[in-house]
Amino acid sequence: MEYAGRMIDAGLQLLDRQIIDVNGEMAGNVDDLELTFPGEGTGPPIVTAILAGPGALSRRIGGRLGSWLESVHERLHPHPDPGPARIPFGVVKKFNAAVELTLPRAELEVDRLEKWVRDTIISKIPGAENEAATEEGG
Amino acid sequence: MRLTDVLGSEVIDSTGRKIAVVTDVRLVQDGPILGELGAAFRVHGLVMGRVSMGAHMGFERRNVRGPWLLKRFFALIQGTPHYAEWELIRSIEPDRVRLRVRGEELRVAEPPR
Amino acid sequence: MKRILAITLGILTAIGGFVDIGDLVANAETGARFRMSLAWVVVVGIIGIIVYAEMSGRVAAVSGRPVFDLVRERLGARVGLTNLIASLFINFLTLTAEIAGVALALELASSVNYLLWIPVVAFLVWIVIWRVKFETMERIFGLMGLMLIVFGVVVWRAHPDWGSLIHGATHPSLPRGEGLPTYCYFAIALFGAAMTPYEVFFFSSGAVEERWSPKDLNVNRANVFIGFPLGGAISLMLMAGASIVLAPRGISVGTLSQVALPTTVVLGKIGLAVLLVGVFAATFGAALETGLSAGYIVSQYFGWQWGKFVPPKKAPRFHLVVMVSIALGALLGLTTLDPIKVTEYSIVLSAAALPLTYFPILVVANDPDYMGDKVNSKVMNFIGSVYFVILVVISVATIPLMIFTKAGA
Repeated sequence: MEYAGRMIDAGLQLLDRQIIDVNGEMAGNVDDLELTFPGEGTGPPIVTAILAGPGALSRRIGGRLGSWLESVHERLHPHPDPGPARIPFGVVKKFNAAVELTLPRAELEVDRLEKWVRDTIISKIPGAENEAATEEGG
Repeated sequence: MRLTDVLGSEVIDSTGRKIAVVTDVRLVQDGPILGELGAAFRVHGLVMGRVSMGAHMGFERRNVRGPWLLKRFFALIQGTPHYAEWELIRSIEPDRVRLRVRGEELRVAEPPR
Repeated sequence: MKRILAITLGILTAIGGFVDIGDLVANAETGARFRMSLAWVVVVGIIGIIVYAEMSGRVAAVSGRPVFDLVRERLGARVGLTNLIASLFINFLTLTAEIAGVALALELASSVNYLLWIPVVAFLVWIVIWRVKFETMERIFGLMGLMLIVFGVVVWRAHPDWGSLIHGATHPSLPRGEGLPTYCYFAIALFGAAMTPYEVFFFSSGAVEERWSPKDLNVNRANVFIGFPLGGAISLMLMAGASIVLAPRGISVGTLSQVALPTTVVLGKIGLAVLLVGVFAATFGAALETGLSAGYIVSQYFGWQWGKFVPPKKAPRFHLVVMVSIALGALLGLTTLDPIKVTEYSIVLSAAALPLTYFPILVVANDPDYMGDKVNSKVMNFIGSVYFVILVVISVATIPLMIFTKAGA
């Protein structure tokens, strides 16, 4: 059958790729993909979201390390039984070597641990806001 | 369902034999419109091989031309990858995929491009 | 001037690879015990790191992705994690040794015990990473480290029998009292030191820090083809100096002052002063390199924001990893663990982890979706594959050899 649409292999080209937000900042890795079966009928599932963060990574690592990671994720989350952090696939702009999004990092669920470390530790150290000392000219 | 639930699953054909493991999931961009990307990606079929190493090299792709040593080595380990379109799949269960057809009826996997 | 300074990334990386504290001791010890019989290993190592650093720099320039992104992508989350843990462990031991190495250099210069210097050094390393611009850091420590060219001056002023030096290098032989397994052990240690993974972690991340683009492929090549041979040449001069001064007297090397002996003997106090500045810069540079590498590889595995090109507030987890690594390294150093022995173990262990790091680089450098038309040439692939096989062989041989020779005793 002829398909007009682009064809890719998900494991090779999407999985484990760096995610970059609309401002060029790094927003995690594609730790997993969410596949959803369409409502009625028995058509093939659609990629509906990227799953990222410890909630998603824990399942792939498995074993004791994975369960520990899962508990870290749950502890950081206000809800009692959180699923992994989700980035709806509609937010993806394009992907090649990395996956580029149309939204800034702050609007995504994945920023939780980053915010905690920033607010609890890094912000307390002088110089945290500044760009490193610049060298003019040359 | 998650992608990694499917990757590495055993593939059982219509006679009940385990014939391979799922090494990758091929997607085609022909679903309903979904944001700036355009059409959503739908599962087109499953790529399968002898072993699932959790590693994705990309050597089987036609436009990757080397290095010769590594290509040969992984071809040896993986065997020839085969492909099952979605229509040939009967069910997807935890760690197991069942086909409607016999293993011999599957065609050899071609790179997606 | 700026064009000349553009290669300081390569120089600083090479310094970490060829003349950090571990290499200083290893090369001096090798020269003292085996004269020039292991010089060829350094040359083989130089070629290997040139090839792989060029690939990793090219990948970073064309795709913006540093080495550990590739490790995760091609090896998967699980094997990638194994590599991360192994690399972090080795990195950590090296960082500990470098911090102690800087402290030892300061002890030689000041007669203040090195243990007292360790916390000071740790703080300085951290503050440079926190505040100093990447390019500035690279230039200062790269260029200051080049003072180690004093080793070449030592050899020249010692008026050696050049004929026998070159003969010794081209006709490797086992001196009396040394066995073949020990020879192989030292060969692996020297080769592992030349191709330590943190060099490509640092080099490729540095390329992204410096915002290299496909236009910078010549800069990449210049860095690699000038920086690493320079570093390798310095380490060969060190080996030669030890071979000329220490070997005939049967002096073996275990401390930094013994490394410095040939220089003191031939060039006196001035030579020693220059040497100490060079050693300080080289080990401090290597400490920066390993400290940053810890942050780079953890962040790149998990996909966190990393880099000195953003304010620390924008990369909090990266900076936390760096801080913790430096602190732990200082603590381990304060336990009075012999920093030289620590480095020897870390070099040899890193030899075991080499294939996992270099394999993804070789694979991605061939991927046209990543590289467009900048994929490896057939020649590159041939050399890269040959070296990859060498790495696998070494990786398999390392631990048994280490046990068998009791770590080169």
